[in-house]
Amino acid sequence: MKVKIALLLLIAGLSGSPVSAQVSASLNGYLSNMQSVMFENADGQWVSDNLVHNRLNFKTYFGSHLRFNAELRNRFMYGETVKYFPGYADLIDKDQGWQDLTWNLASDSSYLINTSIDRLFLDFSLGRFQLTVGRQRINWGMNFVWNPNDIFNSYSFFDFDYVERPGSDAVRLQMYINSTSTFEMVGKINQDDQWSLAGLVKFSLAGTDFQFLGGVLDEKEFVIGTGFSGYLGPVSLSGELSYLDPIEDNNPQPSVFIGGLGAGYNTPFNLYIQFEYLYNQAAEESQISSFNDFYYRNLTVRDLSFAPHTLFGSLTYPITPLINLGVSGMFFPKINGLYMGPSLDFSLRNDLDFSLYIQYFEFDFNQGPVQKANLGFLRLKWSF
Amino acid sequence: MKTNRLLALLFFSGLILSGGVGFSQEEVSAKQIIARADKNMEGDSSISTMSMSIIRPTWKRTLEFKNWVKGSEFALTLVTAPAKEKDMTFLKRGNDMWNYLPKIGRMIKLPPSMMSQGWMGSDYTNDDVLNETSLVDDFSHKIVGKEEIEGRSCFMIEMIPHEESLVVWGMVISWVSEKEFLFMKKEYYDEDSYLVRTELAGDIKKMDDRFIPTRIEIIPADDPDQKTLVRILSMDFDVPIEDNFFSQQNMKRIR
Repeated sequence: MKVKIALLLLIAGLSGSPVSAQVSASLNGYLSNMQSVMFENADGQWVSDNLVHNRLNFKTYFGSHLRFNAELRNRFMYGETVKYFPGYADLIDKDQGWQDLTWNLASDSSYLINTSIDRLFLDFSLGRFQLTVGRQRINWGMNFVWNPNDIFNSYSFFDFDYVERPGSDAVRLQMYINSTSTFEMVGKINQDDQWSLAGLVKFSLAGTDFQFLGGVLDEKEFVIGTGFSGYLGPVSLSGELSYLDPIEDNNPQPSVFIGGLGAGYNTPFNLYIQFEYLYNQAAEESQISSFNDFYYRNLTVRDLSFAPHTLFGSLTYPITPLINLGVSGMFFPKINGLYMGPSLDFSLRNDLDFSLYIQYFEFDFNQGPVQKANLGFLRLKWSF
Repeated sequence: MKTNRLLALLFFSGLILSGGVGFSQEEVSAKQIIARADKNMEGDSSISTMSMSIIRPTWKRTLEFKNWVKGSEFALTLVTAPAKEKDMTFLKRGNDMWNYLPKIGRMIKLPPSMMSQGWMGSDYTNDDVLNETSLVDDFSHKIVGKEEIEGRSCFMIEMIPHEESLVVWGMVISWVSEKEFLFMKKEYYDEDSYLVRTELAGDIKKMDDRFIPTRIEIIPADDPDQKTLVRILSMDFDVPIEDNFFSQQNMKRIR
């Protein structure tokens, strides 16, 4: 409520000022229908679900300095996960932010309708400064799959149907030092009323982007980090390294390094090859103990992987200009874990896409029997 | 990641029309005709809106965008359609390039190798846009005849690249209208003198202070059913734009 009142005041105050020359608004988004199945063995039980997913992005400009964004996702789900997964409705109803902006509008034994506002912010620009207040996405990542530098909003690579990701309830001040250098400060508050405060400086030198960051996360630990993004000949390269150090000596979590390196190369015949490696010292202590944790949880930087070393590789190739074929894989040596994910994207029209994704997992969390999971998704997506 | 790779090329589209040298003399030689036609399609800077359509016998995909261009050093491109790619921006400053994805709030540094793939199989290739060769300085020119194209009498000029130039073509033949000095047609040949592709200009309209073709068709010789169609929807020339307009800050703000 506090936020809403503050936002309203800001809008009222600024829109009454001479700055607000012109008001213009826009709305866009998408509507998709996705059918999914999940099973351990093809001859065993299949869990099948359907998700109708609608995203709405509202954007309003008040003159050239002030902008208001509100974005929300509406989901209508039905199927066996809703029916048989205990606590699923509560899980979907949970908002990871400071303000609870996620609601189950309707929920019964077989279906679920959920609305979640994942962006709600005011953006004010003046000269070299940009101030953004409210729920927003702060993305400090430079790698493709794992982002140890993305301290405000880590996420799971596997959740391909939600590229926008949740937002952070934060105040962000960006200062553009010159055309290609930025300094910014972010204050974020989480669901337990704990603050994170961090700064980042980013600049371009000799064809490479560099960044350095530092701050306090959730009033619990210090973080420092650095990242780069550039290329060597035809190969693009990026890297991120973060060091997390608990503030209190009696914190059960140890100080850890988390770092990753990525490379990408587009061959002359348009096959795109990508590799990434992640080292996660925290994985030994990670509280992920099941497949569901890994797949559904809103991850913190410490939970980026579930093994100390993880390798990623992917190949993508346009079979025709309209059809993209891809396959990605991950290997987690210590726990004999494996992920394979073939995908097919088919552009049906300028605004309509059909996709097929398959995800296969095999892992061994506690040296017990090997667990397997197969997931398949068929999605039709209309963008407007 | 894939999308930005597919789209990376388009942000050079702002440069399709640029790249040349100044021209001042009145005497008309083959070289000067080319120089004048080249100059006609560029300015020190420009702001334009364009569409690019990839046309195949059974389908068509169209991309619309707005460009701010200054010389060959600076370019900023905002994608305005289709909905899926809308609001994405590209920045070029010298050899440095970035792509900003507002959906996920991410600024991505683009390596030059990302440019080698056209959008949706566009007939524009890497060489067209990345090669900073000059139609004027990197070729020797000869008037070889006159022909009418789209109702306009044109000089037909054979252009052979200099040995030391980086031009990938064996030969280019250009048709330049006599009256307005506009490129009406170009044929690109490989080193064995085989036609590789044809560019056809049309729909001459007044944009800002000058008449220019607002429709450019690129047709590959080995597949005449295919083409890429670029339309210039609006264009202002010699608009004063500061170098620092081409900034990461504007990538996030421009609309």
